[in-house]
Amino acid sequence: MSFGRSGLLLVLASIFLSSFLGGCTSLQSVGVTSIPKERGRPIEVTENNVAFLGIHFDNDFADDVPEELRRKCPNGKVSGVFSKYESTWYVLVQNRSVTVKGYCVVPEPPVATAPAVAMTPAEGSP
Amino acid sequence: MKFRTAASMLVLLGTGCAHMHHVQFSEIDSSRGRLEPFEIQVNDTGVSVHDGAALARAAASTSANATRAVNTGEAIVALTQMGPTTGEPTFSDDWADQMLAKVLERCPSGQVTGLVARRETMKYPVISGEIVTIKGYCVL
Repeated sequence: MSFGRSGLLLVLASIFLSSFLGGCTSLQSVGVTSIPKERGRPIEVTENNVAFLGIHFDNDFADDVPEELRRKCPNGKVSGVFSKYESTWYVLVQNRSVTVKGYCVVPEPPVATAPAVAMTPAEGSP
Repeated sequence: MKFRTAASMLVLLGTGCAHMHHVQFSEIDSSRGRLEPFEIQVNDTGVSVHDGAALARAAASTSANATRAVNTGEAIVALTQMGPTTGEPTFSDDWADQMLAKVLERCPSGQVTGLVARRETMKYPVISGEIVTIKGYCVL
């Protein structure tokens, strides 16, 4: 049985279209923490992990995300944290991706209060 | 027949890999003091009836009655375990319950920030490691 030239082109076009138009992204998990009223600077960290045929041997690819968030917000609090874990297939290759977004809220330094000074009558006053 | 058995074994052995089901990050507060990272992991053994049945079928492939019995057993177990699952079924449902106590053990002050919770499965033939990992920082 032979496809012929037009048949082969049709098969190739079908593979091409199914690769790019077919649903290939899957949202695995999403999480959100409480969002602060005072939203500071938005920060975002994304880590990816690519594997042939989706065969992964560990799940450590997102381990650096907290440290990366701390680097982007060294002395503040990362709050309003939105985390998303998704996977996408590119024909034979699977990409897993973890995205974390949040707000870096830096606490305001405490306002130095002036020591209370006792009122003294000004010189020369009656 | 030997080829079929060997192929089944190869497929089963080749499936050893890591699945991450869920990961969640919490707030990180670097303004409260020095942070010391910690990691806690609890796990249990999951059993894949489907993998077990495949092995049994491969071993009993010469006997039609044995293969039929394995198929019936697999169908019964499958019918009693319907519904969505995360990883393979385990024999207890409280294997991750001691997680909170372990966090407090590692961080006696109770001031914890930057928690990351990860649910994963390490898949091997027939059995699997069902794992929950908690990472975070203890505020010193």
